[in-house]
Amino acid sequence: MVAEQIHTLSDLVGSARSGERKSLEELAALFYEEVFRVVYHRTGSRMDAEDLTQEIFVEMSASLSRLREPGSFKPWLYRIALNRVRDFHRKKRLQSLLRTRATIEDIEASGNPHSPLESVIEKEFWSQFHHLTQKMSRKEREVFTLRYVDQLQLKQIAETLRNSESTVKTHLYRALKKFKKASGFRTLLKGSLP
Amino acid sequence: MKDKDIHLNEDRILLSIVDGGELREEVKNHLAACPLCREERTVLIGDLERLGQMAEELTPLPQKRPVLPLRKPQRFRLRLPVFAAGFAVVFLIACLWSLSFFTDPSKQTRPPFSTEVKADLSLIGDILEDSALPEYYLDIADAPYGYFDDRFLEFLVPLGEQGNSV
Repeated sequence: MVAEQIHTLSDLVGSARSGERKSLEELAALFYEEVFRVVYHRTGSRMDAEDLTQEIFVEMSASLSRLREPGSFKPWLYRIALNRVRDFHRKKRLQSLLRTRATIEDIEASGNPHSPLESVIEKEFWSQFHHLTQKMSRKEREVFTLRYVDQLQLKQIAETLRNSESTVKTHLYRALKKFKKASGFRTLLKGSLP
Repeated sequence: MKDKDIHLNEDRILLSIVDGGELREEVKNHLAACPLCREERTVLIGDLERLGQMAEELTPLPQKRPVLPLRKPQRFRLRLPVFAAGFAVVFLIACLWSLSFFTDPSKQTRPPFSTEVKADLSLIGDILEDSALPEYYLDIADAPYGYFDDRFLEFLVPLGEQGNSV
């Protein structure tokens, strides 16, 4: 079943790569929400995430012909997404130097129809998550988020970051050590959404 | 002391989570036998799973749909590098030409080509004359073979009656 899915995805990528418009649109529809989530987890803003996701799919469409292995489409797409997010943060940092400094309080509400309590939990969750990941190195943060928030397998993370699996494991181990010590965040995780 | 009395330290529990399904036999055996270590590991894994779930629940859905750009025609994309390469070659030639024109002063002082050709033709004419020696030396150089006269040559190479050599 899984092998069949992979085969189908590879076929779809192959067809989109050869310029088939319909396959390209199908591919974008298949991965749009997933990529949006990846970007949102790193920006905390729905509007920024939407704009960046649009840019990511434009880039995907333009450079799909350069993808050698259709089988490694997902890590390749994630790599584009992570590079875009990195550029976004670089630009934002530059802007904050010129204007006001962006803080974690800037994280906007998601726009989902939550109750006030849910909105508070949401804001608190992302605030604490960003607070925890700020204690990690860039690589640790990236590996940790890809593994436990974006739910990627170790092999996929290694492909996305172009690292060996053992390097990924080392970063993940260090990140987990910091997560284990974050008792406040872990308490928040134990309380469930009403 | 039994194995289950020596608990897994924090490093080994974290490594067992990182490794996922690839647990070492000794760790697997200890976890099966020791409820304390199993509990510690399970709680941590539970927190990580909850992190993923909450992140998913607290992530909004995108309100826009992706708009993919129309692809440019293949012909134009192929031509662009060709134009660029052609322009680069022309530019390079122009640069080299202008460089040699401005840096070689001898080119500017050289006599015209027609004058050079005339001088060469005159020199070739002098060489191809029957005798290029001045008149004064013509008497001395009269004999075509220098010291050897006809008699000596007849002795050396006798000619037949019809003038052929024997």
